[in-house]
Amino acid sequence: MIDFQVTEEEEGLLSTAARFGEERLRPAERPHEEARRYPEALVHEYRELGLGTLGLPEALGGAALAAPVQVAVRSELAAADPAAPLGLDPLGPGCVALASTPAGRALIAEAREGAVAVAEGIRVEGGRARGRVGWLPRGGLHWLVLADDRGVYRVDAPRWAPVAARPCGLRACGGVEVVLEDAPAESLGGADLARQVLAECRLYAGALLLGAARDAHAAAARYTQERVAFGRPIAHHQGLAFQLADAATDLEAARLLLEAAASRGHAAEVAGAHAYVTEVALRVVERSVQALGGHGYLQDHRVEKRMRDVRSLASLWGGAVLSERDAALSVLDAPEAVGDAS
Amino acid sequence: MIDTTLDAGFRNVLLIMRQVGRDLLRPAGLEAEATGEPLPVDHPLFVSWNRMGLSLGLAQGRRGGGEAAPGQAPSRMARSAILAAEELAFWDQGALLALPGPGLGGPPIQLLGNEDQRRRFLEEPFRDPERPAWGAYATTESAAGSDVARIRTAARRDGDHYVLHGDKMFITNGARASWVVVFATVDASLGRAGHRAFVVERGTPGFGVGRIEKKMGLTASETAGLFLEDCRVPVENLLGGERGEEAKAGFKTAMATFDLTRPMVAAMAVGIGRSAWERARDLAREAFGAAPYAARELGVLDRLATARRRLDAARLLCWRAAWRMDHHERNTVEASMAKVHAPAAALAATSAALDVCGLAGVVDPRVERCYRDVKVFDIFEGTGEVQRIVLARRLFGYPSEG
Repeated sequence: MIDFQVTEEEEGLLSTAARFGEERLRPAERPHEEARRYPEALVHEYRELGLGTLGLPEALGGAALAAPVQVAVRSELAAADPAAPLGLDPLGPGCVALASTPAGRALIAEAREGAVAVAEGIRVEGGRARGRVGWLPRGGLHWLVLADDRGVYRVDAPRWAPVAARPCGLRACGGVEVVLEDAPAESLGGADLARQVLAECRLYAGALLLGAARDAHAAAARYTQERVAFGRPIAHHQGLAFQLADAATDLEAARLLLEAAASRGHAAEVAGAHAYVTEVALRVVERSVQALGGHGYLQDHRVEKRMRDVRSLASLWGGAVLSERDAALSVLDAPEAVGDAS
Repeated sequence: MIDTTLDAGFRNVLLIMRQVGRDLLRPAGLEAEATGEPLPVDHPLFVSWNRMGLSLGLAQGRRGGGEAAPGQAPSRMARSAILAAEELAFWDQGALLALPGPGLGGPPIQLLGNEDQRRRFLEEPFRDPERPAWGAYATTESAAGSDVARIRTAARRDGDHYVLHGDKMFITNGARASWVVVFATVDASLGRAGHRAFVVERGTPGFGVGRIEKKMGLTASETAGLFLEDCRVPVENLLGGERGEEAKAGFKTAMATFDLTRPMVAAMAVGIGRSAWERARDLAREAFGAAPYAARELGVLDRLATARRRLDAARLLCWRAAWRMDHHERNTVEASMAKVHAPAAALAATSAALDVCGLAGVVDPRVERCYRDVKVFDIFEGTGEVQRIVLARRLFGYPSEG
C-alpha cells in the first residue's frame, strides 16, 4: 500500500544517528579531516552503537535493517560528516549481498575489516587480477573484494600504498592506492551477485550524497536568511529564493526516489536513483557554496567541505557514469511505472 | 519507511481508470484532435462517464477545515484521487478536463455554501446522469492571473441583488456550465479582503460567453472567456456571507482544497509524460530490442532512462503529498513541491519521447499531443513561479508581500 509512515522504532534509530552525528562527528569534523583518520575511541563508540553494521544479518552481528532504513540512517550520519560512515564502518557496502553466499559469510566472519571495490581499470582473468585502484577511501583492510560486470572476486596479496596526494574530499577516511600484480582472485559469485553488490554500493553512496547535500542546503538556507544585501536578507531576493526552493524540492524528490528504489530492490532502478541523486547532490552543494558567496569558498564554513566530499562520493563505485549505463541498458525491460512493480 | 506497492483497493482504482481511459477518454480525445474543437456537449462520452457513477474526489473537501483531530483514521481518498488523475491523464488529458461535474467550482460551494446553495448547485443540476452538466470556477482575468488581488470584476449591492461587471478568462467548461463561481471585488482598494464569490447561473441577463480559446493543446477541453455586463445576481447566490471576515475564513478553508488539487494536477502531468514515454519505449523496443548497445550509442536509451527517473521522482512527490493529506497532516509544502517538479519532468519526458521517435513522433498524436498538452501544467493551478514563492515563504521566511 502506498505508505510513507516512519515507525517509532525507525524514529528511534534516526534520532540515535542524528545525536551521534551532532555530538561526536560534527564538532570534530575539521580535526578528523586534518588528521586523515578517526580516533580509535570514536571508531569503538560508533560500532558499539551498532551504526557500523546496519544491514548485516543478526547472525553476523548486524542489525538486519531494511535497505530504506539503512539509507535514512546513513543520510543522518553523513549530514554531520559525509566521510564518517566510510571511515568508521568495519565493512563497506556490498557485504550484505556477500553474506548471502557461504564464501562471503566465511570471509566476513574471518576478519571484520574489509571493502568492496568496483574493478575499474582492473582485469580479472584466469583467477588472476591485474591493475590498480587509484583511491580506496579506507585503510587497514584485511580483505578486498572486486566486482565487475561478470562476477565478484576475493583478491589476495594486494599491495597497499597510502595515497600520497591529498584527496579532493573524504580525507578523514585515510585512503590507499591498491596495486594488483597477478594477484590470486577467487570467484565468490557471478553476474547476479555482482549486480546486488553494486546496487548496495549505490544505495550507500546515494545515502551519503543526500545527507551531505541536505546539510549544505540547510547551511545555505540559514546563512541567506541572516545575510543582508540591498536592504533585505539575500534569501528574500527572488533569484536566490527560487534556487533555494528548487534545491529543497530536488532533495526531497531524490530522497524519495532513492528510498523507493531501496525498498523495491530492482538493480536497474537503484542505478537510476543513484544517477539522479548524484546529479542533484552535485548541483545542490555547488549552489550552496555560491549562496554564501566568498565565505562559502573558505574552510570556515561547512559548505566548502560538503562540496569536496560530495564530489569524491560521486566518483565511488563507478559513479553516475556506470549507473547511467546500467539504467539505460535495462530501460526497455524496466518494470511498469505504476501497478506492475512490487 | 516507504512502500510503493498498490494494495487490492488502490489496484482496483487503477484498473477501473485504465479501462475508462482506454475505452472512453482516448477515442474522444483523438476525435477532438481531428476536428480541432472541444468535445460537443452532446458527446456520448459524457453520458457514459455519468452512468459509471465515478468521482474524481475533487468535491469531497471536508467542511470546517482541512485539519482533523489527532487519532482520526487515515483516509484513502487523496491517494485514490492521485492514482486516478495520473491514469486518466495518461489516456487523454483534454477529455479528462471536459468530463461533466462541478469541477473546480465544487470545493468553494461545498466549503462556503449553505445547505440551500449546496442543494441548488451541487445536487440538482447533477441528478440525472442522462443529462450531463458542468460547473465552473472563474477568478482569472486577462490582467490578473497569479496576482489574484488585482482582479477588477466589480460587485455592487443593489437591493436584493449584486450587480457584477467585468471579464473573466481561461474558464474551463465556462461556456457549457450551468453555473460559474465568479470572484468579484466589492472594493478594489481592499485587495483580497474585498473579494466575494458568487454563483452566476447560465441565462442570467448580462452574463455571456466572449470566445472559446484556441490553445496549443488540451483540444478536447473547452476554455472560455466570459463577460458580465451589469449582471444582476440574487443575494442568495453569494457564497460565504456578506461580511468580509466570514468570507475570508471560508476562503482560507477553500485554499485547503488546493492542497489536493495541486498534487492532482501534478499527477496528471506525470500521466501525460508517461503516456509519451511508453509510446517511445515501445517504438525503441521494436527498433532496438535486440541491439541495446546501438540504441545507447544513439542516446536513445539514456534519454528514456533519464526521463523515466524524473517522472518516477515526480510521482513519489505526488504520492507523498496525498499520503499526508490522507493522514490529516498539513501538506502545503509537499503539494507545491509536486506541482513545481512534475510539469518540468513531464515536459522533458514528452520532449525526450519526440527525440526517440524522430520525425514519426511529430505526427503521432500519441506523442506530439502530449508535448502540447503538458506545457500548461507549469502555468495553471498556480504557476511554477507561484509555487516557488509558496515554498520560499514556508521554508525560508520569504515575505508575503513583495
